[in-house]
Parts: sequence; structure tokens; C-alpha cells
Amino acid sequence: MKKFTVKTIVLCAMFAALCCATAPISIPLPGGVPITLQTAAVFLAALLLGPLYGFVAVLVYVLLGAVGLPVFAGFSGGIGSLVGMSGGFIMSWPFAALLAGFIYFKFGRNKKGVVKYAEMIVAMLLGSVVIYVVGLTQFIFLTKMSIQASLLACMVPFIPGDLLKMVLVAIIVPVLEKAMKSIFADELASANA
Amino acid sequence: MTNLFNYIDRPSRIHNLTGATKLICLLLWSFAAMGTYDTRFLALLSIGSIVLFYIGHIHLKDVSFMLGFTMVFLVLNTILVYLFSPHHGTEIYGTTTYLFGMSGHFGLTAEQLFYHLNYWLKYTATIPIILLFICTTNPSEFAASLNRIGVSYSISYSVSLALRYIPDIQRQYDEISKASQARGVEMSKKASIIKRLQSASAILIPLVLTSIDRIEGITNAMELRGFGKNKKRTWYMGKKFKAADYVSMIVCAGLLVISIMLNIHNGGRFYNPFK
Repeated sequence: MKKFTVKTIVLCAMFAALCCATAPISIPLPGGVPITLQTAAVFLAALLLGPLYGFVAVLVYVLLGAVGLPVFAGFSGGIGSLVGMSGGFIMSWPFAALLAGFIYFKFGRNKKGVVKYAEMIVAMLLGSVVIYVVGLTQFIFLTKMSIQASLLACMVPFIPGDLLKMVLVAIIVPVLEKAMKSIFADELASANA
Repeated sequence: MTNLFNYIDRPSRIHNLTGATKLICLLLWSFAAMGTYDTRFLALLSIGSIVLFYIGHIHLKDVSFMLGFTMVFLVLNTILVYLFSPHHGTEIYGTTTYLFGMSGHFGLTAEQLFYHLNYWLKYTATIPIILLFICTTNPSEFAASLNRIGVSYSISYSVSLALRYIPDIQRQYDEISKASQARGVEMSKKASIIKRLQSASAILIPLVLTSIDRIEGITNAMELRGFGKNKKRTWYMGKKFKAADYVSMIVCAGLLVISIMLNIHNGGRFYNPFK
């Protein structure tokens, strides 16, 4: 694997900054929990940058949030500390990005049409599984709530929003990929290897 | 758009600590506060938090936006826990003491209120310390601190760059959003969900594209100035450790030890006054 070049450092930093700037933005849902763009930004970084650079970009984002920037939103409303009740949902993002980026770059990136979209959705669904498993595990451990109650509090209200976010990311990734390919053909090709 | 964070250049004894010290202390303090539900210890940390906040010369108006933001999610979480697990406190503390003549599944109990008190104390113990770190640490010095504690300078410099460009991207978002709305894009509650998703993509695509566009220029500027040619680098903003740094880290490590010892003494993470 190629080591980091200056360009890839700037790339990861810029996407981390994008995550920070867009995550607090929310779209109100009638009668439900607002959709925040938080995990949308995470998956966007994963699908555009691939497993390695996506992982690093999201790791930088989580690191910034870990020191208290209010760049996390949604889920159970935890903010700041990764060791809190909802910290597991946040700490799992770099790994969700790693998994989603890997699956998409390996199976879906060079496809066309419906297959491409299907692969994007599958990659994001599997990434979401990582997020919920880690997040719920930590939530249950720290609060000692039952599994059922934890699912109801932390997962069920957020599923509709999460699905809509995946649709949003699936819509905009192909457009942005064209720009990415012209600028970062070499780096992303090596990331794919 | 209000800036989500900002370094406040108003020198104090907290400002003089190195970023590495403040980062380590922040982590130790957070682990100590989040690792136990002992009310007495959390109250002590809360008072300490507020005192340090004052020592750092931070004013409430400096951080009111972030506090408001945090409060919304604290309230939301409190409501959700109560709705889905209203007898959580009862399960933890082992007794049931109904209040206000209520009973049944949603009956309010003293144990549940006590549990929520502890939960809120965790946040009052940690949020002022977090805000203190943000407001008293120069972003450039923070990157130097990360490098000092072993993070490679590529990664720590990514952090510095990300910090540098967050305000730019926020400004870009604001401009793009206003430009879109001037052309008829509707983002408010009046529009349907589908239209709002379309509006979101109409803003996100140009936002990402303008950010990508800048990467080439930034990269070339950095390389022309010799960035990345060596395995190590010096830091202009770096600070040396002083006595105050060591004392601060020792005190915070002591707090973590106390937190762990209290868990042992209480027979678990919960201090139970209902026994």
C-alpha cells in the first residue's frame, strides 16, 4: 500500500472538515426524529474515498468530535465524549466507513446502472450494521438497559431517517465520482489495489 | 452560520498548558466521569468543571450556541430513556418508590429520577471541560500536541487542516444554500420530504465539488513549501511541558483512580442510597 502523499493528507482533511460542517445540518421529519446528515457524510466519505482514505477521513472527524466539537448529532443525542452512553455509535464510524468503502470499491464502483446503486445501498446497510452493533453494545453495557428497551430507544426511531440518508448518498455519489476520478485517478487507483 | 467552535485568545492559566496536557487531562477526566454513577464523585467533578471554566476566562456568551445544542439532545435522550425504560432506575437500585400518587408502567419513581440526576451530572461534569479545551487550545498547537503523543504527523496535520477548513466549508455551505434558495430551492418544512432530499443534494453536490476543487491548490502550495519531505518536523506552535502540566496530569490521573476505587467500594458503578 502506498504511503500517504500530501494530496491524500489534504483529501482526508477536507473530507473530515466536510463531515464536521455538514453533520449538524438536519432535515425535520413530520412527527419523527430529525434526519441529520451525520452518517450520510460518513458514508459519502467512505464511498468516494474508499476503505483506507475513507477510514482516515472519518477517524480525523471522530477525533475532532472526541475533543468536544459539537459535530455529532442524532442517535441518542450523545455529544463529545466517546465513552458516554452513545459513544459506541460514533467510535464505530471509521470501521463502518472501512467496511462500506471496501465493499463498494471491490464490488460496485465500476458497475453501471441498477447494480451500482444496489451495491451502494448494500455497502451502506452493512456499514450501518457495524454502527448499530457497536453502538448498542456500548449503550447496553453502560446503562444496563435491556436489549429490547435499548433497541427501541436507540435504533427503531432512527431507521427511517437512516434509509432516507442512504438514498440521498446514493443519488449524489455517481455525480461526485466523476469529479473525483479526474482529480485523484492515481491515488484512488492505488487505494483500490 | 454561527461558528461551531472557536479558539478564544484571552490568556489564562489554562491557555498556558500545552495542548497535549489538556488533551490527556480531558480524556482522563472524561473516563473518570463516564466510568461511574457515584453521585458524590460526579458532583465533585461538576463543581471542579465549573471552577476550571471560570479560571479559563470563558464567558457563557462565548459558548451559548454549543450549550444550547447540547441541551436539546440531553433532553431528547432523557425523554427517550423514560419512554422506553421508565423503571430502569428501579431495576438498578432495587426498590420502588412511586411519587405524586402515580403507579404502573409509566409511574414516576424516586429511583428513576435519581438515575436521571446521575446521568445529567455526567454531562455537567464533562461538558465544561470539553468547552474549556476547545476555547483555550490553539488548533495549530493541538496538531503539535497530537504529534507529541505519538500520532504520526501526517495524521495530526490532517487534524490541523480539517480544523482550518471547517469554517471555510461552513461559509461555502451558507453561500450555496442562499444561492439555491434565491433560485427557488425550498428547504423549510413547507416542502415534502422528497423535495427536501432533492434540495439537500442540490446543496451537497456543489459543496463537495468546491471542496474537492481546492485540494489541488492546497496540495501544490504545501509541496512547494517542502511539506512531507522528512519523517519528522519541528512545530512552530509547540510548547514545552512545565510543572503545571505535570501537576495537572497527575491530578486527573488521580481522579480516574478514585473513580475506579469508588466502583469497587460501591460494589459496581452505582452508588445506591436506597438500600
